[in-house]
Amino acid sequence: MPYQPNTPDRYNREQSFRYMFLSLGANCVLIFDVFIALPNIVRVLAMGSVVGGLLVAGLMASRVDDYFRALCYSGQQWTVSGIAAYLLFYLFNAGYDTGYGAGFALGSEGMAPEREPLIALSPLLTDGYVVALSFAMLFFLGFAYASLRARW
Amino acid sequence: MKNRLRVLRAEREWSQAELAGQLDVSRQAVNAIETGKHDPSLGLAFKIARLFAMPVEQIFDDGAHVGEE
Repeated sequence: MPYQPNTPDRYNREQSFRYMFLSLGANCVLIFDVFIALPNIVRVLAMGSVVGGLLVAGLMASRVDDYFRALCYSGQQWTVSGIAAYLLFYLFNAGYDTGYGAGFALGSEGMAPEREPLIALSPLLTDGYVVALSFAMLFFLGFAYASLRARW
Repeated sequence: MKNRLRVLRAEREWSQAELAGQLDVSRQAVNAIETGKHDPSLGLAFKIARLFAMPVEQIFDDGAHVGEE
């Protein structure tokens, strides 16, 4: 058998699965941190774990095994669905704002509407950090769901 | 996809971890294949077939029978 450096053994492979669950927990901690500020050390450790989990899934999935890749694929599906739902929300809001603005302009001789556009109403939804955390959460949840479903 | 992996493994008195070690996959992968929740790639299916010295179709059954269509 040819020598393949850095080939993961069974222990490394199983650690990758456990690491993804650890990252899921760490992601929950970070979401919690958005609402109730946690000590910096907790935040840094949790963030490191989430970033590590995403790097394992993104860059090293093919080195683990087929099954790990399949679970990552499931997580990716959840994330892509989340992005679609997020953009759909924006689409509805932007559509409403456009319609309202046009209607207001027609009914008031070209004046701009006074109310804030809906699209600017939710600061959490436009905070890049929170949005990234939410999509990372969806990824880990998709991974965990597929993994747990395979056990029973 | 149905398969006989659990039976073949039990006949040889191997644990899931031992089989996983021989196939270079994780124990979770062996469990998912045995329970039919994950279909192995073509490469892994051939590896399993070689390990048990049997044709792939004697281990895995996709439910389609040749000659019936």
